[in-house]
Amino acid sequence: MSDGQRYRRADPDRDGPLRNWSKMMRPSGSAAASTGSATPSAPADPHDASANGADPDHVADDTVAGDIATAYRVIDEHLRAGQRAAEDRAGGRAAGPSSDAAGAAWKAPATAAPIAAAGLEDLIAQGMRFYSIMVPLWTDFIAAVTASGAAGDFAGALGRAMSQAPGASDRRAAAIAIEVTSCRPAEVTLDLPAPAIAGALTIAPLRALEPDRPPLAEVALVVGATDGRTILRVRISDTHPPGLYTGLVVDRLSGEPRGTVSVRLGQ
Amino acid sequence: MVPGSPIVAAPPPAAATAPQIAAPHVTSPHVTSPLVPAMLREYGAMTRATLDRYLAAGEPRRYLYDLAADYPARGGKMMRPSLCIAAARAFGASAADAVGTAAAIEMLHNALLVHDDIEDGSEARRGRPTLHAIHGVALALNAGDALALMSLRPLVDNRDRLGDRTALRILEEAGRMAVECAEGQALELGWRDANVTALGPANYLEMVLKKTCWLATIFPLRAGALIATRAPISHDAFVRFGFLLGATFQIQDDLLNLVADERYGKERDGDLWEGKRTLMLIRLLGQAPPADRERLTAILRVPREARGPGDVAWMRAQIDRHGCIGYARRYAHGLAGAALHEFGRAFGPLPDSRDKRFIRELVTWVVERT
Repeated sequence: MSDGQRYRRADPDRDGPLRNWSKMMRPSGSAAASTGSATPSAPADPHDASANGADPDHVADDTVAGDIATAYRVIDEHLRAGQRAAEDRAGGRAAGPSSDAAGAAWKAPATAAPIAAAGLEDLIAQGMRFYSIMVPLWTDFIAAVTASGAAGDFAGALGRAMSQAPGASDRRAAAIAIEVTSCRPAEVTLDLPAPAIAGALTIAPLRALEPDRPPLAEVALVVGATDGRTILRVRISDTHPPGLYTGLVVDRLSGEPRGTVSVRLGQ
Repeated sequence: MVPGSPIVAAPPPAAATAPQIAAPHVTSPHVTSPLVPAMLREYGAMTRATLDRYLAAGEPRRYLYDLAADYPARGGKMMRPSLCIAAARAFGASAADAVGTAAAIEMLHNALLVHDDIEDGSEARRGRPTLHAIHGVALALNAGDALALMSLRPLVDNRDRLGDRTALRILEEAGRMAVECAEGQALELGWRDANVTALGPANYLEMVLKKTCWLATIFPLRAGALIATRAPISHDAFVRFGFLLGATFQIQDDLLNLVADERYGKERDGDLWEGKRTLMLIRLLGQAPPADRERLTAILRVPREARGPGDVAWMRAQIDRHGCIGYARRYAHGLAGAALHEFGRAFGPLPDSRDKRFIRELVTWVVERT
């Protein structure tokens, strides 16, 4: 620009965001059809573009955008109310890890003292835990002792009761089968503290500390076709270098790590 | 909706407080989905088989159990239980894990229908006279109570399959859902009782969120995800998706009350007879000139029995005159687009599956159904 003249970009045609995705909801020129059964004698309507000379598509865009904005305001306020109820219920404590804004469960009654309510609920939960664990244990214990009269049966009764106690299915659900396809010895370790289902988790390729070694990519959590079990499936090619490979088990939704997998591949 | 035109995933407007996440603008591949009816049949049959076990006839059959089993036996779309099973399966659980909860949802839904029909003074349900029209209010009310209480049984029985912790969390969610339903129904009944006319779309959406969405979509989705994951993950994404899907469903349901043919199974123009604050009526209240609005308010003030066919015909004509049906359709399409966007956030990371496709195509199905 040696002559001092400045280039100037032309002013844009619009002065706001372009939210015309709703045009894709109908073929071009069919706006009237999509607006339903308004009769020709319908009076002027601020949303009726033809009545005030505005571009029909532009007005429809703004209207639909406004409708959606209203819906989001309603649901956001609902979620915030749920969060506030959870905080009230917890007596100012932060919501627990299992609480989300909407699922914060019960709203505390306005007349109830939050701490008292929380204390009562904790007490009930504790009582239920105690009941669910102890009743089957005690029942089986009595049954075993009265049936045989032998103290030695106590251990067996305890074991059976533990396996039948409510909540045992939680432990069964956490069981994960491991399938390894490898022509060489491979020690697979899965560290997954919380119960998990295959669909919710994904596994990043397992990597060795040495950067020149290729990652083990064929590692996945899958659902068994016949029994619905969660299976950790590991396939190792015949030529893969030996060593220790590790990777994260990641929650698909939140992206947060849920555990680790490691494979020690022998020669 | 124009036949053949796809609903497009619509991100929330910039003004919305929802997190702004870039969502793919993917059009719905099947405007008329064969998958949705097929899966509703499949999961519906599965749910009915479980339902039958819980509704096994005892005594007194004539005064209670036959009545409790009446609405479930009349059929229904089975959208709610199917959504629960599909959500659980999309996350990797088996259908057997979710079918008890699905049956509980359907039982509670039918219980609330019995009560709603009494509260609304409705005459027809699923193509037949309402339960209270056949047996009287007292017996129908009691059968509805029984059905609602019996819906707790499958949720308690979840302990055997899902364990204490997950079963208790589902019960907590069910408790929250029941409270929301009652609050939503109270809003709707209260507006009619007090003849509240100063309402806008936000009031309507709040009422629908509570009355319809929690039972129809939010709870089935959250429970399904909970059954599968059992992990403490945030389920707020399902609330947003469920709300938008459920509100679309309700607006379409209200539209069908005005424009559907005899397959609809409910009383034609029943909502106008009852003075229900639908989106169309709220729109009419906002659009009508003062004289018409005054006449409309006077019609709404009187009880249903005092309303005549001429009053209902006039309201119906005004709804047409002011384009309220087109307005509601457009509203439903906007919400459906937003629902597709939220679907991407709630289910996008999951691997492709028949169940995931079913849930997605349900968005289009709810605005297409007749």
